Amino acid sequence: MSLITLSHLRKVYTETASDVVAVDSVDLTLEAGEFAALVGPSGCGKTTLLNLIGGLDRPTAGSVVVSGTDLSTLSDADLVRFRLEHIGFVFQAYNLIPVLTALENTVFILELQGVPAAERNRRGMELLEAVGLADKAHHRPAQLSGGQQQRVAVARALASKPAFVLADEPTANLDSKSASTLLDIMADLNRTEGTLFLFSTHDPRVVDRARRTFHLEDGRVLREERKA
Amino acid sequence: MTPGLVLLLRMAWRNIWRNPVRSSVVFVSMGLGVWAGLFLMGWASGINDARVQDAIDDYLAHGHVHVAGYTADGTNLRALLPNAFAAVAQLEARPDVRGVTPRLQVPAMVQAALGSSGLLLQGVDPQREAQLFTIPHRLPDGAFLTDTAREFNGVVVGQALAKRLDLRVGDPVVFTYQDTAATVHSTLYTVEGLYDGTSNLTEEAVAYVRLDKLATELGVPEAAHDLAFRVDPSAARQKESLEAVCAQIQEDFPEFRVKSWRKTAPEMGYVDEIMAQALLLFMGIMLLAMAFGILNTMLMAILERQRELGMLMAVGLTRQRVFALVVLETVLLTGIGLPFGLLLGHATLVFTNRTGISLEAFADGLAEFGISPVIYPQVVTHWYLPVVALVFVLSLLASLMPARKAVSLNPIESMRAL
Repeated sequence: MSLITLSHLRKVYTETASDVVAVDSVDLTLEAGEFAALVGPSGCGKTTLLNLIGGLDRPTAGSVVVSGTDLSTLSDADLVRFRLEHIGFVFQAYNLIPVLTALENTVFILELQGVPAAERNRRGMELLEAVGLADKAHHRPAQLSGGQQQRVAVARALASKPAFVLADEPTANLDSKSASTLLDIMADLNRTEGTLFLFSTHDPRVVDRARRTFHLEDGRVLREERKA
Repeated sequence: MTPGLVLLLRMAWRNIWRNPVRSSVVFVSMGLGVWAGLFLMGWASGINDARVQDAIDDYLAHGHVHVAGYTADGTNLRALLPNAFAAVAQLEARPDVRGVTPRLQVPAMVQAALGSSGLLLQGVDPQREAQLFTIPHRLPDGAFLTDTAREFNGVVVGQALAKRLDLRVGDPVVFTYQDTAATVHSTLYTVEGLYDGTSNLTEEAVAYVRLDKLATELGVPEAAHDLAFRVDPSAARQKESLEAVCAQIQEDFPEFRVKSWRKTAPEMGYVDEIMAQALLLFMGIMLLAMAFGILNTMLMAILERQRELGMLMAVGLTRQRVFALVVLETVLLTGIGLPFGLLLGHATLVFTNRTGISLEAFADGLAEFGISPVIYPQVVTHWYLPVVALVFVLSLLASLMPARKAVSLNPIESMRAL
């Protein structure tokens, strides 16, 4: 069974002047352990698609089934819990919690899940080690560079061992060296943790690394590419 | 503890320090509000306690023995205690009674060269009256019903009355009153002394003559309208213990009526409670105004952190937890100022209770209301808990709107916010 299955997915935003079709009849499946990217120019619908897969938005038609659960059957509260338990998020603007340290940010989801302090701190340090920031564990986001903050965000997304990680333009705000380091880290974690990574991006550096790419235009998947 | 509650507390605590200046303004205003409120309560309580104590010392005593039908204005002349001196002796024999004084009371008209006035003429035993009350000791001029006064019909009037009628010690005055048989007497008295009452009202309302003289005039020897008594100070301090002593005395005198000062002058007791409640209300209004400031602070904080709150909801913070986070922040924000306000208020009350606050400059005006010119604010510890509860409830109320605003955010739109 596929980890993520999108069937006839459609999202229409009702504007005052006219309706805007952001996602139109998308069908695709993703398996555990994939390293995939939604690619396309701005406004092609990749972020909307990512939000639909992440349960942050509800489709106008069609379905999103994750691990056998149709997200449209879940209430808002259940969706929040589902995101907490099954999905990791990495955002373009890092979006760390400024009042928490790197370690506290990393284990944030685990703490919400009620994981004991010793266990979550062990996991948090293991991930910070993996992203090369063990020595910055007690620094707050304001004391870290953009690249470092995004690496903490990746560590946070993986801390609870989610079924998959959705990363919205993760390298958009990074210089090339930081972006390259981040992609190396995510590729390593994808391999070692076996977690599915799905990016939305128009950054060629990400597209190069992705083993599967979906090219979108006007809300539709125009073509799909697979690398060996 | 609920998973995540410690995390929310930690975040709430750190969030309030993100803008230290803005938060400090809230702490300081809350602390000052609580301090001012407590001080006002202690101050009002001090004024009222002093007023009650002065009234007890002036004329009220701790309790009274009457017959049924007695009226404090002396209009029921026939409401006499027969064998009053036997009752006095019986009362004095009680270990919890510290002094008794019998009084005859008759409404009278005083006429002097410059005018006349209605008042209550009170026949008292000077020695006993001096044991129970302070008025016989507070004579700026003259003496209080000395033995020789019997010869020249001495009367002691209040300073305020003397001023109004332009009376001085040695001046003649005529008192007109009825006896129990409705016979009108007009008797010439001589002003023997001027007393200084704590209230101008009292000074104009009561004049003192010797009990034996008035009893002879009224034709009621050995009788009295009122036996005023004082009890052991420890019993008088608490309402319940004073009422218990009065109930025991009532058992000794089943044919009479025994009442504490709270029953003979209930308005004195009510004022204390009404004033405290009014001040709590006043404090509530003051803190409510502050709560709007807190509400505004929190709304600004929510607006500034819209993107962050959206992200928190996106990654899995439930709306209940977002709500709790905002409520915790608001309660902490107000809660920090509270202990400072309480401590400062307590320290101020303890200090001023010892030193007193002199209002000598306003002594005349205060005397009109029976208020002593030196106020000793009371340490109103019994009001601390209601004040804490009030602050807590108001901060909860102030948190509702920002918390609702926070949970109504849409994660996607919030994360797009600049």
